[in-house]
Amino acid sequence: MSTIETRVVVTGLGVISNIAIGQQAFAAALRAGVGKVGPIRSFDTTGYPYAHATEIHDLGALADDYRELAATMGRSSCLATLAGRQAVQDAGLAGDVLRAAGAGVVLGTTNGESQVIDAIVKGWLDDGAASVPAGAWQHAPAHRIAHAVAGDLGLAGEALVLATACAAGNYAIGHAADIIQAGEADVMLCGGVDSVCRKTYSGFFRLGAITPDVCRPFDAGRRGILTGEGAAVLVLESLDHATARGAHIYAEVLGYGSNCDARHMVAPDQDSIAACIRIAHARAGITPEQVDYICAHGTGTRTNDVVEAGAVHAVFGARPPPLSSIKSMLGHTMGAASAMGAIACVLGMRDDFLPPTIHFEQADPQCAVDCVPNHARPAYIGIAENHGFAFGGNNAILILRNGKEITA
Amino acid sequence: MTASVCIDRIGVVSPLGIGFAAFCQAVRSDRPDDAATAPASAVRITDFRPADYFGTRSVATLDRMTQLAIASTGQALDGAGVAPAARRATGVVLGSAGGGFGSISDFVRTTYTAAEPHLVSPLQFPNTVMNCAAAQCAIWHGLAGINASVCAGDLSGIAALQYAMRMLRGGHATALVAGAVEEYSEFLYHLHRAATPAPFAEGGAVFMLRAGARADQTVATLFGIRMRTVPVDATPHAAALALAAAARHLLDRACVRPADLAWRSHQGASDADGIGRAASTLLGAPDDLSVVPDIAARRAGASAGAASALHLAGALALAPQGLGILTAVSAQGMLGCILVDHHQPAEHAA
Repeated sequence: MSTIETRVVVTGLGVISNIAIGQQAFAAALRAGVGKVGPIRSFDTTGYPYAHATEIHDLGALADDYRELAATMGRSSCLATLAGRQAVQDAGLAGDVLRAAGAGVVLGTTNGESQVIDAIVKGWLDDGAASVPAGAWQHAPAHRIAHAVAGDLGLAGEALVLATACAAGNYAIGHAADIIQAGEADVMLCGGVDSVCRKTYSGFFRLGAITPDVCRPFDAGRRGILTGEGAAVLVLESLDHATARGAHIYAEVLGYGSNCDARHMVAPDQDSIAACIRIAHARAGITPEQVDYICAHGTGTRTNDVVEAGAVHAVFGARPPPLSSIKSMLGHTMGAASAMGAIACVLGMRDDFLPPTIHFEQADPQCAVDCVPNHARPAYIGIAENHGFAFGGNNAILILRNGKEITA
Repeated sequence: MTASVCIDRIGVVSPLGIGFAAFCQAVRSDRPDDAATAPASAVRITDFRPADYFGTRSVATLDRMTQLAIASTGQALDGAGVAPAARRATGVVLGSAGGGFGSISDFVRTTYTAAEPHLVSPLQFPNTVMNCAAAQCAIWHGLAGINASVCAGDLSGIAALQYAMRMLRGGHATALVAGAVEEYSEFLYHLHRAATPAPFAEGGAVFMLRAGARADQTVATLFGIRMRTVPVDATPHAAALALAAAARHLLDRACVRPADLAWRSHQGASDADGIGRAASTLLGAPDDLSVVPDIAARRAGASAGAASALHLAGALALAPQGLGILTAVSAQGMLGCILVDHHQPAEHAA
């Protein structure tokens, strides 16, 4: 490790989501508390008692670009590529600067090119494996999503996928920061992506975890998740590199903590999550009192919300900072979820608001958190804590500092 | 010079042998590499006995990939003598092409063949998430530290080791088991054959890694790992140039000269495009550098996401002592190299 710590900052944002395309629209949607649930269009829903999700149905001005990309890659790669283009443009980084900075891509995902895999299995079932075109198989491996982004932008750095399920976005952001801190690149693209798919919908439906109406995190009447999709990509940059080119600095990555419950595949563990929060604080060099806002994992399942609130109380005491769940708006975008959360934190910092938990009706005394119910709240966020937890007990928590507080 | 990382022990599950000792013995056995011994189109591990690792405990819900991962990580942990009390602070980093494709495709198939599409098995659902094998390794062995699942195509093993090295150097961990595993599944077999005519071999290798300097009984020291991307249509020369640049970067960071290298090894049954050889020449490595074959690829077959990990295990079974460089190129335009110092004949560490 170098003796002088390299500081890592966020200088660009790209968002493809069901509530907004692009960071400006995303900030407005988060502030307005927009939630959209619709019937699933991406697969045949015959036979399901109900089938709705937070799918992206309108790509707006990017619809043509999407169609062009979709001719050569799967949906997750398309979404990630579009978000990557946005993030680079938002950061004001030209291709030659990216390449000179050794830029690469680290993306998190739960299911990778899940729709490609679904289609292969269906084709195989109907007409045999030999009927599946060679090209389809080649789109199935998970690394394709990072490679798509790197290829589109002509990046020569590494292209890596972290498949740590629903905490993967935070893993990717944390690891991209590690790469910059180690002096291996000056700029990295990172974030997460997933597509709505039959496998995930069926699995969560079977577990009784899909809400029949809307997602109500921390509400006494919460009934589960909505499977969602999208891509969230951040440009991370060394502070020196960003300052030298006069870039707008949204936020600083102070650090992250990561651990594993090592106890159960699907049941989250309160003590382990509390430990992860403490690791994140220690690595970021902060104390709990400094945290102004927590962007919750907040899935809206009975188990997650109680366990998460319990862990927060264990670390922060009786009066933790406000903690809201953007999954109430976006649904659960799986591997993209914590990257969406990181972007929500950054936009809340920039525009001085706390994103709300919408659809909130009745407090659950078992959770007892200020979840910023229903309406965004004007507030200054100096330091934000972004949660990401996953099947397999993979926990990752990211700590961000407001770019307005950075003095180079 | 950046902090080094030691390989304490190696766990292997391969058609060539279960356990590093058996693997070493098999790869060193005198067996001509002629067409008569070329592997079949798919090679499975036939002598893996779950009871050796799981005893009488039910493993019905663990898919094969997970069983192979638990077995190989167990070999590495036990061989390194990581006591149960120290395991909570230890972590695992596992590479693959995309998790358990067998479980994933079976589950998707059930959504089409069951009476109702949602009548899937709730017990099988966790197996369809790509981090299943690493998470189950954590549960089985009590590893509560860093836990990550890494995908980089045929270079997933290099990517997992690189991730682990960064975790160790960055102070996120002090001990990690890292490597890559692939099971045979029809899905992965077809996926593999769509990309390459090379035979597919089930298998995996994992490495018990510790931050810190060389100690007695360690197999090797990892000095550095670097991965790069070139366009899919890059010429072999362009790939070799990028690979040589990556290798030079590692050598410079480790304060090592090309002349100090004792051996090199290129991933795959053959260096058909000559990229590994060309990169070595471009790097300025000595002409008489010992060339170590990717014995696992040659004898058993290519192992998709586990290929790089088995390549390293095979190289450490065969390579002379001293500094070596491993190189790898994937058809998708990924490059990787590993700079490693091989300490001792592997039988002492097996």
